Amino acid sequence: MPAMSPTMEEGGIVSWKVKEGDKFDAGDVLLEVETDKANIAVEAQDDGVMAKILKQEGEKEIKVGTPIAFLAEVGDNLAELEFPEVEEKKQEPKKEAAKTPEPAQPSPQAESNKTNKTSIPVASGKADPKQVFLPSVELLLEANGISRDEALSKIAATGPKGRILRGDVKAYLGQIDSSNNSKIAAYLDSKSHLDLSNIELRPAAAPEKAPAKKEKPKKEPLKITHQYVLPDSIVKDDILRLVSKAEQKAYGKPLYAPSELIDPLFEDIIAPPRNAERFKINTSFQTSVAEPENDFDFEPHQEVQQPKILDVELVCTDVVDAKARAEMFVEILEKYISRAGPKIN
Amino acid sequence: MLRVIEVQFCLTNVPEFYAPVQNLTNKEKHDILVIGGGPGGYVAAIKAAQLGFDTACVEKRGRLGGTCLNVGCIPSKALLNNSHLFHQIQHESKSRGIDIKGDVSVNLPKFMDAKDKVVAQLTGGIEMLFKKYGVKYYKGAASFVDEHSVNVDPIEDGEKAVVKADNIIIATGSEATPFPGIEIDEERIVSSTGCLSLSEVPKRLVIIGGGIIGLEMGSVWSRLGSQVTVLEFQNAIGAGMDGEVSKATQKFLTKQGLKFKLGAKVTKGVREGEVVKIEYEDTKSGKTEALEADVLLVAVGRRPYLKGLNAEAIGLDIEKRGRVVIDSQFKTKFDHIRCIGDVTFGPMLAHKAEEEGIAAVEYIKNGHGHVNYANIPAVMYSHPEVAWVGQTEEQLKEAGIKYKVGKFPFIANSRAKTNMDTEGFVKFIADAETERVLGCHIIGPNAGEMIAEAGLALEYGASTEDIARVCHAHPTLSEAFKEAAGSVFGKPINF
Ligand SMILES: Cc1cc2nc3c(=O)[nH]c(=O)nc-3n(C[C@H](O)[C@H](O)[C@H](O)COP(=O)(O)OP(=O)(O)OC[C@H]3O[C@@H](n4cnc5c(N)ncnc54)[C@H](O)[C@@H]3O)c2cc1C
Repeated sequence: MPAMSPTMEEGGIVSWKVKEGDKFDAGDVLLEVETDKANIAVEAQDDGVMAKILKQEGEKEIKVGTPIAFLAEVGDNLAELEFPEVEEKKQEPKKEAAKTPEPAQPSPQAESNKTNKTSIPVASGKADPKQVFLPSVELLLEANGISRDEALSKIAATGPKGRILRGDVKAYLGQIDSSNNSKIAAYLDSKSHLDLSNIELRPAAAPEKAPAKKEKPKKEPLKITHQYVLPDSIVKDDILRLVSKAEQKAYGKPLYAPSELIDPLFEDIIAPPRNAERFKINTSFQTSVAEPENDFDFEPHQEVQQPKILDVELVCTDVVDAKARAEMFVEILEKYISRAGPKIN
Repeated sequence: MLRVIEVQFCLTNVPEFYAPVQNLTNKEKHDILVIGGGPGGYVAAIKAAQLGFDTACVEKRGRLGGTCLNVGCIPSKALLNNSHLFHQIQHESKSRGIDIKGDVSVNLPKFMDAKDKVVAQLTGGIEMLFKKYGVKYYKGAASFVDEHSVNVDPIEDGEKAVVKADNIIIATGSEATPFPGIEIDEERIVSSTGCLSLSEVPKRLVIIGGGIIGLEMGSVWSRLGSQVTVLEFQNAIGAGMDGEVSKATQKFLTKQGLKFKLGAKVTKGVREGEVVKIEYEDTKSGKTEALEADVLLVAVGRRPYLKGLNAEAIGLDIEKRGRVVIDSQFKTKFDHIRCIGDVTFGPMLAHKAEEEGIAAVEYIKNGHGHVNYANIPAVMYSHPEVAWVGQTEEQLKEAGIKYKVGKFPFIANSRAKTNMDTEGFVKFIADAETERVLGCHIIGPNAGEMIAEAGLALEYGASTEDIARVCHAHPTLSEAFKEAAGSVFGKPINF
């Protein structure tokens, strides 16, 4: 029984998704496990074949670490496989705590053909026979008179790739509770993957504004008017250029004062689309008449008008931030115009 | 190795009557196309070519290496290293018995040149590697045309092309997160990029954000003479560091002259002429404080970068924080389009992007790859350095796992003493029953190099005893590492 969470101690089998003899690929769901918290699908860590199911659907309260099935490698001849005995453990007093091999990862116990030379499945509980023991393991084994062969065949390995860890030996010796080892292994395993659960997608396009329900249907559009006194030297084209520059700026500038409640990324998502129209700009000039400045003018007969005062009327749309952006526009344009030349106040 | 590149010339997307000869576009086909030449992208491209794929990489910056080599890890470390040297010459030569006649001063333009030279060498080096392994390099901006083809809008001497590929790897990285209401001009109000190339040492540098980037930049300019103030909204600096290490870091940096305002909610940052006016609210007292700076650095994090990629054209799934949605094999909603590095999930670190680059290519080649996200080290290259890998005490408490801690201070390490560089400690966190190493946190000289050993221990499931039983050379700083491991359960020898 795989540990599906660091705190899980036992579980039940809801259903098997593969039958004996079925082939599966890494990532395929093998079975559904019931824990005290939820039903969880167990995926295969490697490609393989379901060799033998030990615990049937509906069985409950199976201790973490109890073998529930044998998996074979692709290509193994199932008929020739010899399955190790799964005993509920002969209780040698010294080795009491070492019940059964414990899979560290949420993958059922794997066992391959005994003549098979292929590598050991990742953290399967079965010790990698070729491993070089960690110094702590070697010392503990020696101190307790456990041979290398005994260690490799009897000790459940919870280390990466079938590595026997110091804790595994201690559990085998009955010095600590073996469930601790699989808990730690399951915890570390859960941290070894990116957490890709509960992903909230960004909406493909910003949500359309629903028509305002409670408001009276015929609302006059909000109008904001402002009068700018223009500096002497400025010509109409320049002003219009500034107007359109200010408009761009007013649309692009962040609206909110920074605060811990404001996540700019999130604001970006919930804000209406940047190009949605916030306001229409109507401009009119009060002008004085000036002489044409140079002789190369293509239309020498036309009088150049020297604007004195700019009246701006902003007709706001019903986009949520229309008013705020319109006000921002007024401010920005003010700044631009005052920068454009000396004020005649 | 001879490779055959299928080159077709054809007209794309051009109305017939409007198709003069110069609109002819290269149309090429590759096994794997990598978009973005940062540590995620260039590593993936080289690995793919090494595995025998016909590989191409598009990069629009004009230089390979991405954020990391151009405006990130590398230039910041160049400034950190050289400013540390300057600081040592200034402040430590006397106690080390070295007399300096005349002034010691920084020549800022040359100081910057030294950094730029390193960057140029390294980015050029990657271009050489591309040539060596036969990675086709498209200089230009990539945008999706459809699920299998990407348009390259050339820069510099790049060529216009529509590139087709069986597999595409998106590695477009990240950009600095803007601070709402504060406009970056990269002169007085700067992001990390501007902060790496200031033209003079600012008298007063204010930094919004006490994360790694903010603290590294703060260290550099503080050593060069700036009065540095760090405004951090959280109540601890060093985003994500183990709590105890974070406190120690703040203590050491404060000693170096950096000022910290924690729980500071910045409300304003505007340039007025040549100064920047900043206001923040002390979240404890609710009082608003004002500050002036010659330069304001906004370092509040980074966000995924997808501009210009036209990901909408193929309907890639993007989650609400802007990250590209992937599965455990880095696949987007399309099996043949994978995504790695800063632009997707996980810590925004160069070595994480590299690991993913390799793994993504291995998935394409073999159907499996490996990145152990429980074992990705993080390093802050201040002085003393801070480095950590695995779990923090805070994380383990939350998960309800019983642990034990072992620590060893550098002041008791003979090499640190000889070097007269004794600030900091090594801290191990191990499972209470089995001693299995769960995390390691180091603050001290050379922490960044030393953390690799802890990574190895984690990868093999070693216990602290295993580390303590490995012979470490004397006299080295790494003896402190060994002693710390040994002190989780036993007693250190030298303390
Ligand atoms: C100041 C600073 C210091 C840092 N220090 C460290 C450090 O010490 N250690 C560490 O591990 N990390 C550090 N980082 C983070 C590190 O730089 C990033 O994690 C890393 O660069 C991410 O790699 P990447 O390949 O995902 O993206 P990037 O490096 O961002 O590369 C993406 C590349 O894709 C290109 N691109 C984007 N869109 C397109 C397109 N449409 N067409 C063509 N090209 C495109 C971009 O131009 C860019 O060059 C630092 C970052 C900063 C800013």
